[in-house]
Amino acid sequence: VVTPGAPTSRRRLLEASLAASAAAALAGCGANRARHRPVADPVQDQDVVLLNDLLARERHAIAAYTAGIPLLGGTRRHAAVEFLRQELAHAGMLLALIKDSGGGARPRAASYDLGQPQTARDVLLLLHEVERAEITGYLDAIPRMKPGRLRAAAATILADDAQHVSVLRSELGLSPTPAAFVTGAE
Amino acid sequence: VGPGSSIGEATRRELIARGISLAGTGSDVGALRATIRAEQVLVATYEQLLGAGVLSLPAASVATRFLSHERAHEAALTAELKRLGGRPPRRPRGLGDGTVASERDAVRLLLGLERAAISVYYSELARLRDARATRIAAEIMACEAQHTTALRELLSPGDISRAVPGAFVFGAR
Repeated sequence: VVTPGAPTSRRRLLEASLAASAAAALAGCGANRARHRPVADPVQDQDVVLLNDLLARERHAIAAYTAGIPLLGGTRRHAAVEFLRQELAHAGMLLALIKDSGGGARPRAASYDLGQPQTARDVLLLLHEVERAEITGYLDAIPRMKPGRLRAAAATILADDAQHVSVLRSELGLSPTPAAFVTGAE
Repeated sequence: VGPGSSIGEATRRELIARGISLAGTGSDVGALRATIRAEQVLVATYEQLLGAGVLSLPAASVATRFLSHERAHEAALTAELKRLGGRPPRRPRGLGDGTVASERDAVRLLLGLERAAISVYYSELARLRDARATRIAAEIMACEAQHTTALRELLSPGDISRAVPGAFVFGAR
């Protein structure tokens, strides 16, 4: 179990700073796709609930990476650090979308059940599990999101988490691309 | 690409992009037709490159697995399209025989087309309204993203910053 302390403050700062760059990244991408820009639908209360649910999963993943990285070495550690940076960007984006919609972000959990990983393999299994939970969350949320721009934004994060799973599976000795449909069960 | 023998990435990507224009943008049927067109180009290109004999055994193994994925995607999307009363687009013609100079060229071509397909899903997920079709499209977009990671790994083994280059996967058109 990880109880947030000082690192939480750093994560909060990182999340906030990444929110702006993540929002800019999506905005820039949209600018390149003016021909295909989705119709602007208003964000609804239900969307804010869904975004907060996804934020909770991202924060769980951030806690898992933060706790697990010290047990990893070499290329695995390098990959995990990169994935942590990306998870922070995801959280930043979700915070920006919640704020943009006029909603409020739920407080971070007081602690996260991460088990008791002792080895690098334990950590990889934990990270695989939290990434799969994120994928399940996005796949449940995307069809229920009202505005098209939210569905598209969430899908860009889902796809990145799917890439994380692919790398983690490879490190675990599993097929990196086991199925034609990524469902979170892999 | 051998002159006159095949059509390169730019034209194949244009075929994918044209699928969006032809499909229209105002309905689930149109969105699904655009994604099916992208899958058709991918299926044809994987088939051609596997048949061309330019891939080594490890790369051919990856391509064979991904071809099966693309066929499954096309079948699932076509089933959704028919459920919603639409007709799938005709298979694109005139893609040549898939001749490329090297395995590296072949993998680059596939990577470019996978990214173009992801871009189609990114655009069309913003328009799809049907919940079941939306979920299937999202599952497929995630799979194509995994394909790009594996293809980049073939091009630059062990380079995680290339395999998973950014926090948000948009593809490229």
